[in-house]
Amino acid sequence: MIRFTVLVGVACGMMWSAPAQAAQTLTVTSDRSSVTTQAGSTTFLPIAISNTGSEPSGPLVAHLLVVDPASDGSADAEDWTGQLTRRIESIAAGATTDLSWDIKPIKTGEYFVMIAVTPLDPGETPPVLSPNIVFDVSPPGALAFGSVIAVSSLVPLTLITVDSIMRRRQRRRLGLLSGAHPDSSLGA
Amino acid sequence: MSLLRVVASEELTDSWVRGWSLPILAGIAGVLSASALAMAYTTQNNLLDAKEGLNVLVKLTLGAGVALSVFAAADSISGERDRASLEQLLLTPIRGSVLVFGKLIAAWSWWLAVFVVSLPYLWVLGTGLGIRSRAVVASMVVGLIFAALGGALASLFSVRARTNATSIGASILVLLLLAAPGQIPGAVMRGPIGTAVRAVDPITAGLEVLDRLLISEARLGAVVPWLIGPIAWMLIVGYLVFRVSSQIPLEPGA
Repeated sequence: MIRFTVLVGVACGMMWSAPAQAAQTLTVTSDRSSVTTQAGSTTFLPIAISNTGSEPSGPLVAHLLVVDPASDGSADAEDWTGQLTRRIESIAAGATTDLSWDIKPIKTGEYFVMIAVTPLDPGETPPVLSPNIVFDVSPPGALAFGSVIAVSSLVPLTLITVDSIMRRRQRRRLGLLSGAHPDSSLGA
Repeated sequence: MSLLRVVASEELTDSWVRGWSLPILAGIAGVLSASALAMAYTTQNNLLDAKEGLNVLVKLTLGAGVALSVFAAADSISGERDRASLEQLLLTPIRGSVLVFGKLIAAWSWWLAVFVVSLPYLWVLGTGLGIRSRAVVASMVVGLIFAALGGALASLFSVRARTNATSIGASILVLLLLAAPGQIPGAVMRGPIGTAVRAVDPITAGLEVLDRLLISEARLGAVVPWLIGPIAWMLIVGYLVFRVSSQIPLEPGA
């Protein structure tokens, strides 16, 4: 949450101060504008970062952000993917670098996923954000409550039944033994 | 070997045919059922919470199975002493180590039984989260090591303790001490010394394996280093049991 706030704050602050800096030469795009998935399912998210300027860029950092508009605005993106941040050494003038993230949502709801790209040298070029990619995450369907109810009732019942069968057999055997013994009170 | 089988089968029959094992297992299954239902109901919308829930279920299974194994092993020799039946056992032509390991096999069977009972729960919940095999393998590997280590430690005390209470008390105390580093807050245990303590302490290392496999979904190969400490402990304590059980004193310290 704090990390996201700082990142967005830094990104917004730098965009506002953009006129004092070098012109914006980076664009971040994705061929996905929305994704419909289930919690726990992995989605491959390709991202293209282009340098439209006439100079090669310096080192860059691309960072995945997840916004939860239903809550206070942030979701823990580190729970959604194994690698939040990617470093790019440089993008040549007019070239495009392709990156991808494997995203596994952990919670149902609607989220905005975006990639922030910022230079390691803050004076070089303003940070840039990809367009929102809307993730519509439905519950993990396989967590079938019905199966859990079935298992939760059947396992203890089976054990109790097996126990009662075994005890009845044991009592019957003892009864037979006591019946064969001259002192029939032994089995009681 | 055949004598070991005789002792083990006699002890197993005592535990599983003549004893109260099935009602105890049914009780454990009841606790697992309640936990599974609560988990499935409350975590339907949050996968991370669901994974945590599955992890708790595996830990519950381990806790119950290992505790029963420890109690059974702690009772193995000191219990015979308490019931004044040890002298008869020592008069039989059976080596002490065969006697202790035969009883230890029966003690370990408690963990195995709890593990088998937990399988349907792990299967259903693990399938829903896509980590069914992981949950089963993690519970089996860590449980096997914990049960072997806990049972062996308890047997060690049982051979040397004068009374059953001492043996059970000492076993629980040592297991609590071994579990203590796992209760220290994460930030303290993240440095090199903390990591070393976590890796060496068998219970903390075993629980780390569960966390990494079930919550972080780490590769199986990545958790192998965390198993070295617990396996080393298991082998050392197993060897000590073998050495100590070669001569079982009728009255320790007398």
